[in-house]
Amino acid sequence: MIFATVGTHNKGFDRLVEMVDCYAKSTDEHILIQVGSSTYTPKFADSFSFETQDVIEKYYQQARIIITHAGAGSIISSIKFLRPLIVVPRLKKYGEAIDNHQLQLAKLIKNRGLGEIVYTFPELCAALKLNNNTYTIANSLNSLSLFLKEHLKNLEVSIS
Amino acid sequence: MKIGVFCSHGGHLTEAQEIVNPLNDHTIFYVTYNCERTKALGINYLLPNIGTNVFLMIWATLYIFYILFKERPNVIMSTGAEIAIPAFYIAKLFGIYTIFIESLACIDYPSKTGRIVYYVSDVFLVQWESLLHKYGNRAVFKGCIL
Repeated sequence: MIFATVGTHNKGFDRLVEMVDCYAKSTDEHILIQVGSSTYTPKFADSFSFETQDVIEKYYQQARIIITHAGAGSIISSIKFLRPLIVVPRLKKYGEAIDNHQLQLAKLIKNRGLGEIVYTFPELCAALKLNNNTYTIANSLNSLSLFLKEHLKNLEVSIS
Repeated sequence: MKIGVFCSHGGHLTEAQEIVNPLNDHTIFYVTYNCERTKALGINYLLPNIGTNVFLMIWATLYIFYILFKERPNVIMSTGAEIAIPAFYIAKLFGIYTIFIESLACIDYPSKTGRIVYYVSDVFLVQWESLLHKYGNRAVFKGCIL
C-alpha cells in the first residue's frame, strides 16, 4: 500500500493529489490519499479528507512508502514508523505555501538519506520504482525534550 | 507544574506531542484548532483555524484570555503557528513563563510567528543551528526532535 498525505494546510495540495492519482491509474497497488482541503477529487486512488490521529497512524504502519508534502508533521510520523519518504515540497510560486520553507526541509530529507524529492510526475514514477530501503533511527528521548525537562525542573524550584 | 501547549492542529501539533510527551511529570493541557484529529484526542480547548483571518484572530485572542485566566498555567509552550501570537502576549500580561520552539521546518529562515513572539519568549529554541544568526542573542539551539 502507498499512503499519500497533504496535511491540514487550509489550501490543500492539488498538484500532489493529481500526481498520485495519475500514478494510481497505472498500477494495481492500493493507493490511499489524504487530500485535506484539496479541490481535485481522485478518480483512481482511494481518498479521504481528514481523519483522527489513530487512523492516520494505522495508515503509516500499513504503507510501504509515504508520499507527502514536506511538512514537519508527516516527516516526523514517517520517521517514527520507519517508512521511506517521497516528498513533494509546497512551492511559493504556485501559492501552495506562504514561503519556500518546505523546499529546505525536503532537501534536508534527501541529504540525510531519508527519502527522495519529487517535483514532477515522471520523477514520482521513478522514485516509486526504486527499491526503497527502510532505515532505522535510535528511539531515544530527543535532546530538545531532555533540555526542557531539566529546564522546567529548575524553573519549578525557583518559583516554589 | 501546569503547562499549556498552544499550537495549530497539523504538523505543529505532531511536533508539540513529540516534545511534550516526555514531560509527563507535569500537568499538560492543549489549546489547538478544531478538527477530527483534535476532537478524537479529547482536547478541551478547540478554536477555529485562525490562518490570516483578522476576525478569527480577535475572537481567538478573547478566548485565549479566558483560558489563561481560568487555567492559570505556570508555563505556556508553543511550536507555532499563529495561535502562539495572542497566547504569548496575553501570557506576558499574566506573568506566565513562555517557551517557544521554532518548527523543524524552519532551517534557514525564521517563521513569521517566531519573529513576532521572539520578544515575549522567556526561552526561544530553534531546531537548526543555521537559524541562530537570524535571531538575536536570546535564541538558543539545544538540538532537534529528530
